[in-house]
Amino acid sequence: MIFNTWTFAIFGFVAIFLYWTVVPPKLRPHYLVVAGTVFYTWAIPAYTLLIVALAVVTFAIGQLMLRLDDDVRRRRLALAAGVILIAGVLGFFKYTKFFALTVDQIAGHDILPVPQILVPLAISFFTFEFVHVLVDIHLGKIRRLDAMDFAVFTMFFPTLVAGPIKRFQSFAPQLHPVVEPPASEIGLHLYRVGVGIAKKTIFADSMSLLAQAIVTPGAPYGPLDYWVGMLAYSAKIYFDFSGYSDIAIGVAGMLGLAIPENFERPYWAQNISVFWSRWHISLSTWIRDYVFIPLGGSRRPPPVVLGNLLLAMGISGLWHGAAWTFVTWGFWHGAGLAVHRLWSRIVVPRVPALANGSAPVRVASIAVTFAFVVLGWVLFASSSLLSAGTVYAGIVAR
Amino acid sequence: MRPLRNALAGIAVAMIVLALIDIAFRSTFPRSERLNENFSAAYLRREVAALRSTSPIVVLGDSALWGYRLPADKAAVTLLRRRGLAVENLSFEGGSPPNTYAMLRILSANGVRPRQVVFNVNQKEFNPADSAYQTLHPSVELVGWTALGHGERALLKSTQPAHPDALQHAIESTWALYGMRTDLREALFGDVDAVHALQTAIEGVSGARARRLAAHRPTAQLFEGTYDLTPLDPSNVGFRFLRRIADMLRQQNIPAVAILTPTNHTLLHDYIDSPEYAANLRATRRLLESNGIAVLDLDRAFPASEFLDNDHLTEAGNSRLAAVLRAALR
Repeated sequence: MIFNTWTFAIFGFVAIFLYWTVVPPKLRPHYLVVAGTVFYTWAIPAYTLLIVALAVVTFAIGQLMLRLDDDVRRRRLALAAGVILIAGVLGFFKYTKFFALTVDQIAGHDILPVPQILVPLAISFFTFEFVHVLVDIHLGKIRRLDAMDFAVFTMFFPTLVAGPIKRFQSFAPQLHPVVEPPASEIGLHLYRVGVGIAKKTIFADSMSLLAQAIVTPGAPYGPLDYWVGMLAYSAKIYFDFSGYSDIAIGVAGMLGLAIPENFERPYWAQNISVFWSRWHISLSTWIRDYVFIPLGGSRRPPPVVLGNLLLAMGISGLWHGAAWTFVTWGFWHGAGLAVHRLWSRIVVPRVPALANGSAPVRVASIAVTFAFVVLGWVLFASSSLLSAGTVYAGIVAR
Repeated sequence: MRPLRNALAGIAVAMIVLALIDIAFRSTFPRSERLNENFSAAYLRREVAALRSTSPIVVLGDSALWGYRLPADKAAVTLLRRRGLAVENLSFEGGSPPNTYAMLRILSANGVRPRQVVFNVNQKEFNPADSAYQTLHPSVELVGWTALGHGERALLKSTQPAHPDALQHAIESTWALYGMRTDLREALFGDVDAVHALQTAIEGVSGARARRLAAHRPTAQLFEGTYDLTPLDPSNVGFRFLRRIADMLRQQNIPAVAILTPTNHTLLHDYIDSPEYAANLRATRRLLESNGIAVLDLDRAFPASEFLDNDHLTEAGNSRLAAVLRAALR
């Protein structure tokens, strides 16, 4: 089920209405699981089995890890098995085709058959949530894993399609019990949903047309079309995704549950590091906590940290889509973060004009960061690296 | 419970406001000289309903009669209206014999009895490769699918999803402002929407529009394969629907004029100046005349200078077409 459809509007209204009027407070978590299952099954029923099976296995491994509290070695083994299984499922469904295509391209002929696998709805989101649960149990951040809490966490329909990626330890306590929000708050959540729908249907969808030049570059477009296309795509992707997040957060709020914010005026960021703390926040914090920090975080020698930044953002790129354009986009941002790290540690302390953060410096910083992000979106929007190259060549062509 | 009551009260107020806006919209949204470029099913229903109490001359057909690439007031049918003829232009881009037949069915099902029907027959639409050969305009399909017989539907390829969203359709049919959103946008911006209008402006400045038009300047090669000269017979879906059009008009005793579409023979010489094309024209004419339909053969009636491309007339061409039609209509 997609948010900006009448089907979801009716489903959401009925689901929320019954939730507060008919369903006894004690059964509200159970009801959310049923509603989530209906919501997810609406698309391709068979894949409900996949998410349920993976959730059951994750839950079982999580329980096992909690029981192995004192046995660090075996707990670590259970964690590794769980993460490999979850990553394996994600890899099979999302990346098998990409892998086969890449091997065939490198070989120059068909070595591997290219499978036609339909990617299950939202697999990237729920697999990341499952990995988070297992890792946080291992780290001792989750000390209790209740079956019903985990079922609601998994099948919570507002976040099932496109996040935000939730954290179990901040989500589960809200279920005991679910607090009925006051009318003013429901009004605000409804407003948030309205804003989200407007962002998606009025702004994002409209921008698609103006972004055509960078999605399908070449004749008859000229430099102006590419510049307009890049700006339009930047607007489109922001309004599209933040609109979806607004709807998810608003609907969750109307169900009396708070979920993480995902965007915080990202295009006003003064550097790329701040940008990533404001753009798709639930993903960037996930990448930070479960990729970058386990690799050593900022405490390793500078060359290793820079390499880890590249690696973490490369993984983030691959998460967004199974294509080299996404991986390159990830590396682009990884390189940006690495350069910013060097800049802020080596150049800024030596130049007082940069360090004092005057207004012109702030404006220039926002402009440079925005330009960097906008240029990166070309990779994200393109169907191939060749296509992206056509746009980059086109924006400077005479 | 109280927050919920407040929320429900808010929703009720919003629904009442929406209903009032809808009533105002229904009564004030203007009817245009011809069907909108992106006319919706709701708009088509409204147009047909408006004809119930009248007995106009109805023009059905494709872009040639709609007035392709010309403003509405330069289209031949509008010129006829301006001269006082009670004529309604229900032709549209992407018309074809199945579409014309479906429109006749829609009119009949809604109790509209035209004083006369004018429709064009374009030989290119008998080509199975033509986009409208076996498909209806999406809005025509939505409105007219059930008015067609089972055998007729079997000849067509539906463009609607295999599992139509009944909820979506129900909302579009009851909420006029939503159902006619494409028409409203066209009325406001003269284009599909504001963004298309902005895109047109930007592409005008950047030169992309001029380059695109130059790339699509009508050359003969562009129309290679547009016309299929296989002899017309009942195996051709377009020809079968043409027969049904003729049968229906005869059975309902509606006077009709069929226009053999003006065609740019200078441009298309290599493809259509052949005995096969002439034979297909004769077959078309025979079928129509045998059912009592007057045929206005304009196939070679216009010089190349009055064409925009293969079969769309310029402003001057439309003006002359209006004069020709004026003489043929009652």
